[in-house]
Formats: sequence, structure tokens, C-alpha cells
Amino acid sequence: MKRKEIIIFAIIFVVALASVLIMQLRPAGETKTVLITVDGEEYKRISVNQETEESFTIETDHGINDVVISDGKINVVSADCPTQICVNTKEANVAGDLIVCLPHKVVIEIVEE
Amino acid sequence: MKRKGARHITLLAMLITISLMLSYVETFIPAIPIPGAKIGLPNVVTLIALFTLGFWEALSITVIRTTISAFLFSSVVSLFYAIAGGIVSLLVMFALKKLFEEKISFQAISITGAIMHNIAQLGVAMIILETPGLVSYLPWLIIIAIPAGIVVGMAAKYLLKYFKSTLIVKVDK
Repeated sequence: MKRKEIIIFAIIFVVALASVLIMQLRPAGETKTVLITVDGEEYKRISVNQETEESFTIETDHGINDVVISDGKINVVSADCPTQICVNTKEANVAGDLIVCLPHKVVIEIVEE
Repeated sequence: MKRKGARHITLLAMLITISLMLSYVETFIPAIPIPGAKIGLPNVVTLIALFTLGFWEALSITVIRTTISAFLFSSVVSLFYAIAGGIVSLLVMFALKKLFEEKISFQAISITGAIMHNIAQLGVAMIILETPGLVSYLPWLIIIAIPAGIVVGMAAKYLLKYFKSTLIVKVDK
């Protein structure tokens, strides 16, 4: 690989890495809003703070996702989708964090703080 | 019009099969935390096809492979992601090859293809889910795509060297 190319890709890689780190290091706020959309349409919008303890199930035509909110974070604990990626995704707690279940067209997003 | 013989068709069939198998294998490699993202192993075949058979054959392989693997291994929705990723990365790699010819290295084509593959998948996800917020996944996808592109490029380069010394005529490099 030519030197110019290595430099270009290295820069791209570093910029991407920096973006990821910056996004991870933003501190979590006191109260935030969790927005759950199914198929692009709003399904549920919840205000969440550090003391909120809730668990519920998102039921869609495609399947179910069990969600738990605690300690100011939201997490998908189980689902009946084939790939289980939503379950394996880290919990969402900072504005912009997303948990997505593609087969169920479910998007859980932290919207504002 | 070049006569496309049995060798051509056999290679085409072989490549489709191999890319199908690679498609299956990569379903076991999760590109956490991005849902449904694949690292792009079948790009090895796309690269080989581009440098031996040509653009249209590479396109056919991509379309056939994504369709069959979507029906066999995952949901129909994933077809859109895979087909977008496959076609966009093919177009980009072909354009780079045509535009730069000798001036661009094989690896660079492979890495760019891998990056575009992931960006296209992300784009389709953003459209289907109507969530522009998904763009925050972009840096992660790029970080994953670059090593994937390197590995895929090395594998394809090795295979092309082997092909050249045995049966098929290679186009360049």
C-alpha cells in the first residue's frame, strides 16, 4: 500500500476513534427522556432520572423486547429476535445513545437531558 | 465480443458459492454494538470478480449472493442492508479501479470498499428506521471496516496471485 494511502486511512481511523471517545466521555445528566420508536413512529416517551425503576415489554407485530430502566439507564434484557443484538448492546444512558432491534424495527434512543 | 467459455461460467458459479459461504460465516461474527452490521467478508469475492471476470459479473455475484443469503440465513429486511452495502461498495471499488488504474493500491480499493459497504448499510438503516440518530454509529463502523478491509484485501490479493499462476487471466496488478 502506498504511503499516501496509509496516511489517509490512518487519519480517517484516528478521527473515527476520537469521535467515539468523545461520545463516550460525555457525562450523563440528571433527567433524560427515553424515546422508543417502532417502525419510525413514536411508541413511548418516558422521562427518566436516577431513581426511576421500571420494566416493561415492547410488543410489536414482529416480536417482543423486554426493557428495564434502572439507575438512570435503559437496557434490553431479553427479546425474541433471532440475532439478539439488542440484548447484547450496552445499556443506553447518555443523550444520543441508541439500542436498536432491526428485526423488530425498534429503536430506543436517549433524546435529551 | 469476447467468447465466454465454460471456464468463465465455472469460475462465476464457484465465486457465487464461495461468497454465499462467506456470507454465512460472517453471520457469526457480530459487529457489536451495531445491529445487523456485517464486516464484509464476501468482498473478497467481489474483489476477485472485479479483477478477473469484470464489473457485470461482480454485480451479478453480489445480487445473487445477497438475495440467496437473505432468504437462507436471515430476514428479508436484511436483504436491503446487504444489497445496498454490496452494490455501493462494488460501484465504489470499480470506480476507484477505473479512475486510478495503476496509481491506487489493491489494499486501498479493498479498504475503501469495506468502509463504503458499512456506510451504505448504515444509510439504509437510517432510512428504514427513520432514525437519523443512527449516524452516531458511523465512527464505529469505520473503525471496524478498516481492519476488515485490510484482511479482505490481503486474502483477495493472495488468491489472485494463485489464480494468475494457474488458470485465469487477471486484468491488472
